[in-house]
Amino acid sequence: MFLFTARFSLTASETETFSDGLSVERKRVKPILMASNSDMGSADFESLSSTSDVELLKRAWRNEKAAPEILPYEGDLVERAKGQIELVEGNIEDYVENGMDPLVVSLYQMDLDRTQFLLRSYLRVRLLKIEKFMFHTLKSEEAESRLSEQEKVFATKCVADLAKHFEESVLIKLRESYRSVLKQSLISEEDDMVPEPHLDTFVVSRSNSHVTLNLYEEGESHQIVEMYRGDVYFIRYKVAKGAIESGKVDLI
Amino acid sequence: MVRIQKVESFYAKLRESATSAGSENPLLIFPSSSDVDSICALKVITHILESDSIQYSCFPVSSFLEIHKYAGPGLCSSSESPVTILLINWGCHRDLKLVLKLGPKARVFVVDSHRPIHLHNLSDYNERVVVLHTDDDERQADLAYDFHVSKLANESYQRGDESDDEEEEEEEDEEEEEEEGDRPSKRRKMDDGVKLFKKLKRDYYKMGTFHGKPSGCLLFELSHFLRKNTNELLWLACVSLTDQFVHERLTDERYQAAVMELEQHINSSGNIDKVTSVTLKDGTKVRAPDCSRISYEEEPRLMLLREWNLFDSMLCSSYIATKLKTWSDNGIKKLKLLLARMGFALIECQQKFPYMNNEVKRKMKQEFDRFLPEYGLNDFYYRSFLRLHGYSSKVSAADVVYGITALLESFLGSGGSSASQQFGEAYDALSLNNLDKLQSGMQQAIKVQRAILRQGSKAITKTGCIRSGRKFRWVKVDDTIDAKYLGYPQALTKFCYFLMDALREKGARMKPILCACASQELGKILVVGVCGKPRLGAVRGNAFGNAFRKAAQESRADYFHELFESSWIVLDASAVNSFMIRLTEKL
Amino acid sequence: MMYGRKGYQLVKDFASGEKGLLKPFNSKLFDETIEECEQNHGLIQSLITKMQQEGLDVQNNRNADHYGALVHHLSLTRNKRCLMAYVHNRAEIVRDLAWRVGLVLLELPPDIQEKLTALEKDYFKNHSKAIKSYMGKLGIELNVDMVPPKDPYIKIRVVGDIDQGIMMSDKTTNFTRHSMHFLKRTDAEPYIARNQLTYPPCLIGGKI
Repeated sequence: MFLFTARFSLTASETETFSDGLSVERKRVKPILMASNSDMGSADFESLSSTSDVELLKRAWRNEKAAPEILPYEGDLVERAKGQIELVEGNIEDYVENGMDPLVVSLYQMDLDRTQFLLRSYLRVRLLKIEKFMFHTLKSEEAESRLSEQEKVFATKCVADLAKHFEESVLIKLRESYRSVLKQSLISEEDDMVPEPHLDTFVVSRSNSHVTLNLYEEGESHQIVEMYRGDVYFIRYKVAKGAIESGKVDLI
Repeated sequence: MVRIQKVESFYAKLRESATSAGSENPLLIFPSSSDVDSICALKVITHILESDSIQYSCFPVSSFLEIHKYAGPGLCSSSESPVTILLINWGCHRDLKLVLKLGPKARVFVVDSHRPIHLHNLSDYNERVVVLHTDDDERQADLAYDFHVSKLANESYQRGDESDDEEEEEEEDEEEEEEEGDRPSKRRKMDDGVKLFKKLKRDYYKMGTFHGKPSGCLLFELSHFLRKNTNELLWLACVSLTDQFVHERLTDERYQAAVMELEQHINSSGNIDKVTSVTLKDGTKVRAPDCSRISYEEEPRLMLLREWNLFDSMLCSSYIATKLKTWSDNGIKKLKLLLARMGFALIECQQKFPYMNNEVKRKMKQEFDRFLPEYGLNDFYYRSFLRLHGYSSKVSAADVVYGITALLESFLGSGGSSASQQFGEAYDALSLNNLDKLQSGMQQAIKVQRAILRQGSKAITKTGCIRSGRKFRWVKVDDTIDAKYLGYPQALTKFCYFLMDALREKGARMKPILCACASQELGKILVVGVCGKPRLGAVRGNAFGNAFRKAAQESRADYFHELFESSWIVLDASAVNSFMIRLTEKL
Repeated sequence: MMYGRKGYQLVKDFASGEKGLLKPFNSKLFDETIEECEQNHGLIQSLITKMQQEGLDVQNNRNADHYGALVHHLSLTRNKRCLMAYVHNRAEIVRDLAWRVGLVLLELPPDIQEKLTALEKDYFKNHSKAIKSYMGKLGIELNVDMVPPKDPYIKIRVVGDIDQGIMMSDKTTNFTRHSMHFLKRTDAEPYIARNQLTYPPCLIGGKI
């Protein structure tokens, strides 16, 4: 259904494909899950969809999937998405009872399915990251501050369960000076057995606005890169980290 | 049942019934596992159903009563929720409401090429059964009716006639004639009406069984109307048509007409100018690997030529084998001589066909056209369909039919692979990316054909093997090894036609022929009967249906007459001889 | 006696398995590694004792014995890392099972259950509890929908034996062997997920 393909068109139909094959089509129809301001009027489709919760959720999901470490929790967004999903579920039930054309109902259903998937995957990806780096997450203030309250509870329990498991399977069988979960031995000066996320991983990032990034650490050779809006770069996560948090750069 | 004139309204009704509110069951589809046309039709209709998001469940079946295993209680009872059922390639020629014991909540839709359609299934008053029956179908019917079938159907249904038994009616007529002398003239007029009705009914069924348009082609037309047709579906329609052709189920005229229709579709869907090669930036031309297109060409009547070699294919293909009598030494000599005359080295002809000398392959048609008429082989070439795919895959519709039929007909008895499992294999083999499955089917088909040649040669040369009676001939396949290949309906039918052709070449008078062979079930024999080939102008269809049932009943042994062709029946091994004797009396 | 050899073998044993699939717990190698650690420890102790008896400061006197003890210590820690890695990687798979297959231990396919040690089964139960608790608090099920929804409907064929009369969201159907079905993806998912871990496979999914 390609009607016009102007840049800021109201009628373009674009398909985005994510790295795991999910294809999402921006349809010409009204977005099912609306923006926070519900009066649509003759608002520009582009600007509306760029602030709609679905778009925000998509962005949060994409970033979370691509980033090697856990990102700040988007609590408000999650709550709003939950509410809207419930609302649409109810609507669909009504449509079916009122005998709406099954094809149209299935379109609404598909839209709902996709949004539900996004929300579930977002939360799941975060939990998996917590699981993967559980000891680190609770040790690092920065990481811990990014968790929701429930995630903190989850992380704490994970750590307790795994530590217990280690103790009972391995550590109890070793000599006392080697019984630490986090340290190789009493001699270790710091916790040297805690896996940490690799912040040097390369990621693909796209800039939303003009931003300047330092390619190297402070004090090292001062080389910068300037990213303009829409530019796509393949750089180390560490470099883009700050910009991602401030929303200036997205991961894809 | 309402006689639907158009395919679209049939589908509209089906759709409405399947999606009606309150239906707890998905649409239940029961395709026949006896022929390739059924699989093609299934693929086409499911493509359409899926595009309309209609949920369905599909259970392949091989006999009338199997449906009860899967259809659930809704089929027969009145208290359950409505259930919609679709039958593919079976059901037409028996009174479905009666045979399946349909309850008031069941609605059965039928797409089936078997003819004639039972009058009760056709009646407008029968709300349980809807049969797809088009104008084209009526026009193209080989054996034309010259009365209004719909009136006859309604009349028959309303009278609640349960038997379309010719002989019982004849008896009734005689009784009425006796009484007539005592009655006033008014009664006589009514009797005339009844007599006429009974006569028409007799005429309707007298013509025996035959086939209408292939279901795959019909459903392809539906997909075309709905603008949901694809090249894949078009190919399936080609295969459906070829299935009927290979198994001698239609006349040459009908085949030609259908081929022309399909060729039009092929032309208009871009198969001719499909991009077959791509030019890279530096000018290199590369064959496009994903390209797949259909073409139509003159093909020789040599089965599975591309999987075989020229010599063996000529030796075993029924068309040439029966004319040249290749089972005899003399026949083989003739064949070798023919090849020599055409300038083909014997050793070349025994190479696997794809590796055969290109020069020879190019000259083939020319030489065949020149020399074959001498041997009476006048229509060696026929118009057929090919599918070209990827770099080297080229497969003909006929070969696909042979391969898939062989896959369908390789189920074993209990413990081995079941008919439903083989249906699944055959279903897979029909899609493009399962060439090796298709090829294994083709190899199996070759084995079957060799068995046909072996047993055929034995039957023809050994006196007394083919028993000839007044009304028909019959032969039993005794060889246990070849019985493994021939103990299936289509294979055995091919064997019948082989014998018929061979006998005709010998100058024998043409008579219907029956073949018996051990089936997969221990102690049971499969019997199939053929009357003649429609292609060669047989006037009647297959007349064995009723006769089989009666003869089997009288021989007092176990019998199974629930397969989808009434000319196929399974008997106890011990009952075969007495069955044949009684059958003579019935014909 | 070898330095870190058993630990190495233990890790190799794990690595030789198929990625993501559990092999039975190799108690023999595991215990042998522990045994090796004990030996290392014993030797460290004796070397330290020896140095002490010679009146040497263990920490700062870098003589042959010192280094000898260091080598043993490093071998020991290396073995410890191997042991922990072995348990840790298996624990990772256990967590993955909870996510992908189901949160109830007894519903895991028997051939997987028999590869878990008693301790691992406890860990599985504990981790499932953690996940369930989180999902409960949020009110969202997270262990479904693992694959991005491309189509709401999916086409499947039943190849193995499944219980008859499966209840779907709004329709009942009959999953007989060799039947084919076109149904809602969400209805089919649980059977497909289970299929990935059982052999022979019960369902074939995807487009035909």
